[in-house]
Amino acid sequence: MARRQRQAWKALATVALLAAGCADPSGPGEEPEPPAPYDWKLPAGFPTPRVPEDNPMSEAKVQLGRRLFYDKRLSLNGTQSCGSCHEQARAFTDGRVHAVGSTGQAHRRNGQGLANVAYATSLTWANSALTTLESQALVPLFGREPVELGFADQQEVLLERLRADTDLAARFAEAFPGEASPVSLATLTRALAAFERSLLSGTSAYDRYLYGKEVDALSPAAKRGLQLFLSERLECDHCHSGFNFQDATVHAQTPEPVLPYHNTGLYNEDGQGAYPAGDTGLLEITGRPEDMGRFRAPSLRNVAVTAPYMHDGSVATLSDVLDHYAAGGRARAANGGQASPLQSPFVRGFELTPDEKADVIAFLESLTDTAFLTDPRFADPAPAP
Amino acid sequence: MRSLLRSRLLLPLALVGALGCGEDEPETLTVDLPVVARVGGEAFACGRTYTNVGTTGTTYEPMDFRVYVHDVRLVTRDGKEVPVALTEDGTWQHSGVVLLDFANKDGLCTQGTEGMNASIRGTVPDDDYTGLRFTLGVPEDLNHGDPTTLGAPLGDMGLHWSWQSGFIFTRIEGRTQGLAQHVLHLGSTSCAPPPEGQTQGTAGCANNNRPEFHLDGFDVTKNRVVMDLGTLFAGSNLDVNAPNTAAGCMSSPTDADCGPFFERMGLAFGAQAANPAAQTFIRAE
Repeated sequence: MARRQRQAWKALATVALLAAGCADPSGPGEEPEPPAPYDWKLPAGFPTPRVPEDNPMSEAKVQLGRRLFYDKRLSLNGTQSCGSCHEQARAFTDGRVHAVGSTGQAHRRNGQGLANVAYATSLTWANSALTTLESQALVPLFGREPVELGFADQQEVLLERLRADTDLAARFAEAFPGEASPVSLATLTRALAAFERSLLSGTSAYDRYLYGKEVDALSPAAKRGLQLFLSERLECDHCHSGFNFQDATVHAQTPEPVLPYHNTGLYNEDGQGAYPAGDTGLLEITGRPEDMGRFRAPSLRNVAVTAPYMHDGSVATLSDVLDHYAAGGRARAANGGQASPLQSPFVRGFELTPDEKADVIAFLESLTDTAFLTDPRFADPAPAP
Repeated sequence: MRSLLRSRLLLPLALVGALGCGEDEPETLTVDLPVVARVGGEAFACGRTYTNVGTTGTTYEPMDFRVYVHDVRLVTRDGKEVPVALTEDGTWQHSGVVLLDFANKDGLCTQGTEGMNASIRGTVPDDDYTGLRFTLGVPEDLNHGDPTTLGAPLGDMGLHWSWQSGFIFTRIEGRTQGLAQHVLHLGSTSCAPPPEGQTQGTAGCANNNRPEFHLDGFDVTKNRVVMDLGTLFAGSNLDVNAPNTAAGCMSSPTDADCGPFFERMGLAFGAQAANPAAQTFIRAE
């Protein structure tokens, strides 16, 4: 809107200058055309994502970001792309307990899915300071603990490599018109973020049932599982809430985004709630003792294809996840049945019959969006060799 | 030419002006304050090996040494602080921030740049100055901005903690007898999420970790600033590392290796209160 008004003003000013007999110094036609509005193709019932003001969506930017996402030149040794750890068929996870970087170094954490990441208020498992995909992209590119893509201290190598590809450089210039230096760290991270924002998953059986009014899209078991999921007995939806099954959710109309983190009682090493020293959660960032063991609740969209689970990949199956919550936290058994003083009050345990457990799993499986997992718009655009 | 610039500042520009016009304009001094790096009594240089460092008297082979400073002030004889207007050079000085870089690509210093920067350049109104003050680090209003658009010297991702969304104020790394890489990264920690209505930055950090240095009696015509790793490391065992912590000190409030460094920077750490008088890292000479 603001842009339109400025354009209109500029047009008027140009007319005035011409009328006065002066040439517009910038010349007509040099003002870049505003990009066409981006078509989100929003799934039914989905709100418009929030987008940073300095990185508006455009089709050219999304397409550039898609190329870059699958480009192995984005790792220093040319062995990995973003897509190496974020596979579309697994809802952009990697199936590993711990992600492995381009040099073979194992990450201490489990790779996260990217479905609907446009709606996440915070990124990565436990970092309240990382709230935009643009800034998050710097972590895999330049991180040293652990090494992911491996460009620590090598940012010029990265940029020179991309600039040397004239076709790619032209796509940068197209996606970022008016940039004096189209291939830069700023445009690289903005293009990657734009592509990630385009990864919308909202056509699962559950969506067809809820928003498409297809009453038979959910099996009777999945319908029973949905009721259990929402029940006070299980308390699942306190953390996995809303259309994206994630409480850390934001969209264009959100007045005040929230940044919730939860301790689910996976560990309690000292009876006081301590998590293993190598990965203590949000505490590392905030320094607040009460943030020990707190991690972000992930979206449950496509959860059936994103195993293993939890921040450290320490839970293998959905059945094991339900066992963990039914026990009121896995660590309770090792502490004489006592809950960690730091764990979420919603992780208090429940009883579930085998049939009920199967129903909840049927519901979680109904969140698998096969169209999303195979959509060519999200696939590697490189032509087959 | 280099030695002339280095050797002394103080080209009273207005002297020239006074010959022609503008007699009422305040005289402006150009200052070029040398900053030198040492390890104890020896000059710091990549490729060298220093002995008898830290509590174990270990060897130290540099891998990096870079420091951001800002809020540079001179102090007049009557005690008034006067900001130094830093010269924008598009490389080392920008928006009131200087990056001091003592590492080239010799020896184990394989990261960072060939280029080095060992002085602070700017202008001040002419006066009788007897002190120098500055703050180490990147100021709060720039620290949590977008490093991809801030411009040099704030665009080097090697000096940025992406995960902490702030800059590394000092990056000091080396190899010792006990550790293949000893790292000292100082930066703000325990930072809150972005303030309401913003998607970037922080509502504030509990540990800003920006030590301030007061070099009283600093003679701008004769003295230079000395940053001494020998005294900075004097209370630390550089051969071992506290379990489950970064190799050295990356400013984590729970990393026991940080205590002695923070003390010698004059910074608070855990129960240890800030004590600027206890800092031994930076002195005038």
